Amino acid sequence: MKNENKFTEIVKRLGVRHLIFFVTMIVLAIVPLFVNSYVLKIFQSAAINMIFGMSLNLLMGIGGTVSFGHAAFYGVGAYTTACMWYHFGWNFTSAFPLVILFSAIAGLLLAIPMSRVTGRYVTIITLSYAEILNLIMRNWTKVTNGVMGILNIPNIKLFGFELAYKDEQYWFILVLVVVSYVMINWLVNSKLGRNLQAMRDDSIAAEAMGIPLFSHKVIIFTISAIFAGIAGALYAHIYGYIDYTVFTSNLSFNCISVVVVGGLGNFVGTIFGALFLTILPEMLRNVEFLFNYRMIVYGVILVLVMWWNHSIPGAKIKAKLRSIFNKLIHRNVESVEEV
Amino acid sequence: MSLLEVNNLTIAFGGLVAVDDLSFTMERGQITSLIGPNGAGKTTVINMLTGFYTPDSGEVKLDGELTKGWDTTQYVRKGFNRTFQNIRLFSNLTVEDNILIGMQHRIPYGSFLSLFPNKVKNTCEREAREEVTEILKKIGLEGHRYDKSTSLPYGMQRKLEIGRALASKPKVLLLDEPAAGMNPKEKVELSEFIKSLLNDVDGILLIEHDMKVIMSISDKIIVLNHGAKIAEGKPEEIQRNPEVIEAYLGRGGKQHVDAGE
Ligand SMILES: Nc1ncnc2c1ncn2[C@@H]1O[C@H](COP(=O)(O)OP(=O)(O)O)[C@@H](O)[C@H]1O
Ligand SMILES: [Mg+2]
Repeated sequence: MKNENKFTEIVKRLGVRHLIFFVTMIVLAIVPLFVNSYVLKIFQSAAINMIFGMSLNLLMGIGGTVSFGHAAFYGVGAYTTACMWYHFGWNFTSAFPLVILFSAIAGLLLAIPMSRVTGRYVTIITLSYAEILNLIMRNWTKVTNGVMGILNIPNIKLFGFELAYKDEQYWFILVLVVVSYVMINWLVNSKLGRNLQAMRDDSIAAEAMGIPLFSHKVIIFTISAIFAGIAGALYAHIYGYIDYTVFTSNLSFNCISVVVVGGLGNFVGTIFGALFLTILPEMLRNVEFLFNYRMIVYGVILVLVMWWNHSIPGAKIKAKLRSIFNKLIHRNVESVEEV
Repeated sequence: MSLLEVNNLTIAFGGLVAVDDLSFTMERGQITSLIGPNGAGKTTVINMLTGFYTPDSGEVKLDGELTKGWDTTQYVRKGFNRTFQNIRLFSNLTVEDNILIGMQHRIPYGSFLSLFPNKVKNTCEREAREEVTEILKKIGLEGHRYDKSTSLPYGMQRKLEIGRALASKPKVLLLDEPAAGMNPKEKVELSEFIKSLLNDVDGILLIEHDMKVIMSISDKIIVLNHGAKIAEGKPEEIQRNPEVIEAYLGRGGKQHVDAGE
């Protein structure tokens, strides 16, 4: 009984979503104890995609802007840390401030044209911006090593301590997932986050309430780009090899899928979206009779999930689950009062 | 000094002169109403008074201060706020959050302090939420604080929009057809409510089609037709004005056009 009350209290303090998030993180944290290194690699990748997906969800779900070029920021982060190592022998920790700086600049530069356009121009500008950055990655050979890419990027080093093992690396990424999640929630539940959501819902009314649309757009693009850049930097060190082909529109679209599957503005959803969409293709790859059709199956599943998210039966079941959950909590609250 | 002074305001879209050399004043503690057939340019006046449109010529003075060169955020900070003819609430936000958005320029912490927990942020947010309670009481939505704004019935949405504008503590409150779509009983209530708002704001500019509402609460009425002012005066004077009657009924007394629907 006592435990139950405590549980209720925690749920009420945290909110259901946060609770699900932290439970999921704990479950994910013990994954390395049960899986082999091949599977762990997939989980590493999923965890990086969680940060990447949350960064885009911040932009799409809270900022109300679709970006079809999010891979650009991811690439800037990856190249920053890789180049710092390649040219100057810097490790992850020393390059980290520059990862933040350069991805922030990349976000800022895109924000300026973006704050002046709507509709199809958003698509065109974000796509071409990413394309331009991709061309730079490919052709600025002196810095990026061109089409050869950068090889043998070393493991992440934290103040001299090298994360040499996959599980250590994985736990480190998970810590960053938690940090990103917490920071994003701080932002969302602040005046800035509220103003951004108002702009998303109705930019004219938001302007009429005195919200400075331009500066808010710039801020959200910049912050979103920073988180994407961090994800990219992690990728560079975890995989040890990058070239321009990694950061194409394909990656941007995968990231959009993660956000849409998880739900706009729902950051816990993004966690599951990233898990699901990273693990699913690998699972399909291992089903022999499906191998040749795996992209088709992947596509069909994606469509089904999105349909489910926006369908009436999906909404009904979600509402039902929510009301059951509320009832459970409510019952516990009553029992608190009886005591 | 008048609360608001509008001098020779003019704006054209392409060849169409939407507002033509309009001048009027608003006095403190009064409801000034703007009426006229659909397309007369009433909403355009609000759009110019709140910085959404830049007039081609003319000037506006709030408390003697020229509004020239202000951006939209300044208009709000200096004391203008408005509602919209077609309700524009933040549809995914709660009632409380909608009010907080109206209040946002008075919540004294910025984007940087938004990014992490800190004392300033916590205090500001708590105080703001306390103030929301008062506003909700005023607009009669205490019970709906955590409801999604668009789940409210129509009349409440209108009131929420007014509450949101009130939350910015405007000097001049501009209401664009607040009674549209309400039934007669609601309209009577709304009239009383609008009148009571004079305790909170210095002056109200009311656009409305419903003559009962207009005649019962206006201190002064300005009549627009094709962008130009054709009459100005107290309700009784306007009711008798032949030009107004003609603008509304048409030459030869055609059928009354109730432009409100
Ligand atoms: N942004 C705009 N672009 C072009 N024409 C406009 C614009 N805003 C208003 N108008 C025109 O100005 C005239 C006055 O419109 P409006 O102020 O909305 O009238 P009212 O509110 O009195 O019904 C209309 O003919 C309308 O089409
Ligand atoms: Mg109008």
